[in-house]
Amino acid sequence: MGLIVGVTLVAAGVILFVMMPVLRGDWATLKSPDDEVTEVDARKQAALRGLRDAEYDFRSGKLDEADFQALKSDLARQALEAMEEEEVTASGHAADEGTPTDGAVKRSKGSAAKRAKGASSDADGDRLEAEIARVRKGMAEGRTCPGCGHLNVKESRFCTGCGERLAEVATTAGNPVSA
Amino acid sequence: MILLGEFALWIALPVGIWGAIAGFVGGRKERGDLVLSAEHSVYAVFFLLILTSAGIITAFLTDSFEYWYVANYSNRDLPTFYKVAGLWAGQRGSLVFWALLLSFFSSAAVFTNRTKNREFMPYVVGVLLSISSFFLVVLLFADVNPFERLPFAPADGRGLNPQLQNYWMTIHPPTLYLGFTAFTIPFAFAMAALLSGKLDTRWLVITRRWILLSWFFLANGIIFGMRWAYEMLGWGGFWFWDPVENASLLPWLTATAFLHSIQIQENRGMLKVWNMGLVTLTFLLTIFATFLTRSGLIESVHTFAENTTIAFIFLAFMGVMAGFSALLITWRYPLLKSENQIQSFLSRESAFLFNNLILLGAAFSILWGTLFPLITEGLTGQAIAVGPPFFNRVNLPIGLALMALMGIGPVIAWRRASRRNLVKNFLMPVIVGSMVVGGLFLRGVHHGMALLTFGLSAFVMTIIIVEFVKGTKARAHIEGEGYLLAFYHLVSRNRRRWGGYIVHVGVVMIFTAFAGVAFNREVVQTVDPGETITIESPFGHEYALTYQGLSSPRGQNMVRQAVALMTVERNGRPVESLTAEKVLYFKWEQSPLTIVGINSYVLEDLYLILENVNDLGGAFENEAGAQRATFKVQVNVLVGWIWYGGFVVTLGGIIAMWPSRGSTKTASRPKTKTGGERPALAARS
Amino acid sequence: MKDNGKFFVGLGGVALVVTYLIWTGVSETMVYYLTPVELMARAAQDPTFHDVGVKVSGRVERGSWNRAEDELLHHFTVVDLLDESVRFPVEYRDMLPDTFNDTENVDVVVEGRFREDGVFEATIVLAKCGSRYEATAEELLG
Repeated sequence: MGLIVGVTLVAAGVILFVMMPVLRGDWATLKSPDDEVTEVDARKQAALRGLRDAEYDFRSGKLDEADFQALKSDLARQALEAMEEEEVTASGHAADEGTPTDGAVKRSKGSAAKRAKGASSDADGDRLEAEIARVRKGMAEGRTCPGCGHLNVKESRFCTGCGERLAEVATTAGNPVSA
Repeated sequence: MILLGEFALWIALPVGIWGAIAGFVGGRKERGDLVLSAEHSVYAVFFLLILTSAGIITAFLTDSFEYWYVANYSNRDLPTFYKVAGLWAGQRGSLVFWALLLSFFSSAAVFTNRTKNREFMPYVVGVLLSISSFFLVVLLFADVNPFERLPFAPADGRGLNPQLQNYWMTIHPPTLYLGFTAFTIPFAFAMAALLSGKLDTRWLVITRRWILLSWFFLANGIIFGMRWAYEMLGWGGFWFWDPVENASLLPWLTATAFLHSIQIQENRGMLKVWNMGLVTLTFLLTIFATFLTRSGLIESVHTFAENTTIAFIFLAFMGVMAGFSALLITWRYPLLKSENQIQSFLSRESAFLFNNLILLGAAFSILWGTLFPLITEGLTGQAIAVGPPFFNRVNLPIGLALMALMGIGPVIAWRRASRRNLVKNFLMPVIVGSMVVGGLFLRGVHHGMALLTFGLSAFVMTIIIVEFVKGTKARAHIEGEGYLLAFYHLVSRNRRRWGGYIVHVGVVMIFTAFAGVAFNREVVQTVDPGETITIESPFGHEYALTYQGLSSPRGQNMVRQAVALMTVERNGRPVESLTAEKVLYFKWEQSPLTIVGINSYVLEDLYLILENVNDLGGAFENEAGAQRATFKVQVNVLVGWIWYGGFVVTLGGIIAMWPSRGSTKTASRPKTKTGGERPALAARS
Repeated sequence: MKDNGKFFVGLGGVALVVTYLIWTGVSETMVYYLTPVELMARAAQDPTFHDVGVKVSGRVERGSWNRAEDELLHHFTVVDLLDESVRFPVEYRDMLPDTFNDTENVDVVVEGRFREDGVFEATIVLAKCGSRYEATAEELLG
């Protein structure tokens, strides 16, 4: 007797649990905004990781200076592209909750490529430096920019919001990545 | 409870099939309700299989010998934890155990992806439940139901084979199964990526940790098996190229290859088709491992029983999965084009690629050797077999090449390494390696292959140590940290890489141990109490074992036990005594079990085997005249390095798997709160 | 094709080496896998058969196991699984596996060479508890 009760309970419970979503019209999420972000983020992280690895390889003498510079500008371009796409996607979401159009993405890629060429001294190069610094430090605490109030990551030399040079960071490190 | 467990198994099948269908249809038609139902099915199947497993264990614990399975693997006197382990002691129960672990990992996969990777999940669930349903179908319809009953209950069961009555029984099979079943998750994600068309590196990033986890369990499971063999069954050996051993090694080899080749895809966007093929192959090999163990098709001391129905069912399943995957890969081929190509043979991509090819070469040759009797018999009618000599012969050069790669890989930069810098970086390690070879040669080691192994060992170790030093220095310089902090940050900020290097250290230790086998010593002697056996090790240690005699205590579940005692002197000084035994187990009296004694030292093991007692019956009765016995004494050189190396591999694996704060799995921006809820209410059409 | 040139060169190279290793491995270590009936037939036909590596599966004949006193030397007889009239003696100078005995139905695989004097000189002996590994219902109820 106890067995029949037990089996019925289990069977009923399981069937109810399994069929409930269909009966009640509960839907599982089929898309999450993070999915698009993850793809671009993965590419960005890969490029930034590559940059960091390249720097270590150069410093430990595995890479020639010439090879290192070539690798660096290539990876910098990739990272910038990914970061551009990330921004477009984010603003696209905020504005109309849609994914960025192909055109917007293409445009961002093109401008990123152009900018990577002159990455040594302009604001985007600085942005890249800050991003690299951020990766190297890992996810650290924030640091507020006196100019725009943007919260930057610790020991950034430039504000990622407005590009303004932040207060001198008390670092004893020698040259960070030479541009 | 037992009957509830049996019913649970029956209920699980329709639930599993429904869930699989709901997953695929829900994904295709974008019906979130079906997808949610499918995800619930995953949890439900897990719950039901817990009930089934509980039912089986209860049957063991209550000595319910009316169940065929319990009667075959248990008896009244069996210690409790072997009764619990009865779940995986035999073919039928181990199929349930497999299904249980698979459903556990499936639930974990669904749970951890409740709010991310949503485009994949419907298909992931579909694939996972399809595979689970396959196992359920086999359990219910292929004459392997663990709940099969006998016409009436025998008074007592047969008991568990004494060779299985040790603690390894509770560790080795579960660990291996965890490894096998965990690999189904990456496979499911790969298929989901193909089905959904999302073929960028995302599916790799998602499944990276699953692959590592599966690889980790497999590595540990295999090493546990080696230790079990060494401690109990192998008379000093630890690997016999037994078909079932080989079957567990194959997916580990391809999983190792996969762990390396995914890095190429992540960093350079290459080898996409290759990786799809590898993940499918590894999954198929895990199924092949079950197939080989269950079917008895190839003779092995491990095979449970000959059952040709099962053999065909598993073969058919493997065929279907292989075909399904091949079709999907072909369909999506345009999306799997490489973004880059190999620029130089002197690059890390190239080293990783060679690593892959060599590992696959090893896997292929092991598969070939294992199946050779079947193949030749099928083709020519005459079966031809190859044994350990073949496998050792073929895998030795492969092992050496892999060692060389473990040294070369870290030194080479991505894309294109400058030759000049390579030479500079290799100089010291090569010198160290040569010095080791030269030094050993002068000390009398003339075994060519062993010398090469030791030399490569030193070469790789030097390179890895230098890597750690250089990396720490570079980081300290760039970040302005002290060396200790720099080291800690170095490793924790790139756990995969440095964890991987630690794994390589462990593997090098294990290969070095293999080379030690060439120097093992052995003495066989028949002695009376008071007589001494001496043996000398290649390292110059002298062992004197003095036979004290036999005694016969009695333990649980044993009928008779004859314990031989040897007092041991090492280089003239007394050390720990050794005992070796012959034991008769209740219900298995025809096959006395031999228990060995081991004294482990850093560079060698002293290993004692009681080979034969002239008058075993008399010995069991403690008769004074029945003490004459034959012993085999071995010195096993460097064997401990397998276990030490295993620990290092485990440590490296844990470091590599350890989650970091702000890991790449979650997006680097804070999660939007709206993500999960929005479509749930809005999108119903 | 040019794109993937280096990849295929590497693949080809490794494949070649592995094939070579397997080929020579097989030809130098292969053993014929025979039943006792086949073994006797081959030995009768082919005089050079006594120098070849052979692996034979059969069953241990009950009561045929003899162990030399004080010496690690075993003698036993292997019988064909299907034709019990065909048998041959085996000599083995190492430890037998624990599963080996001559009182139950023990299936055995011996590997070694079949000498001219009709004795099989074994280098490897594997034993398995025949079909009793999983007992049938009859055996359980006894």
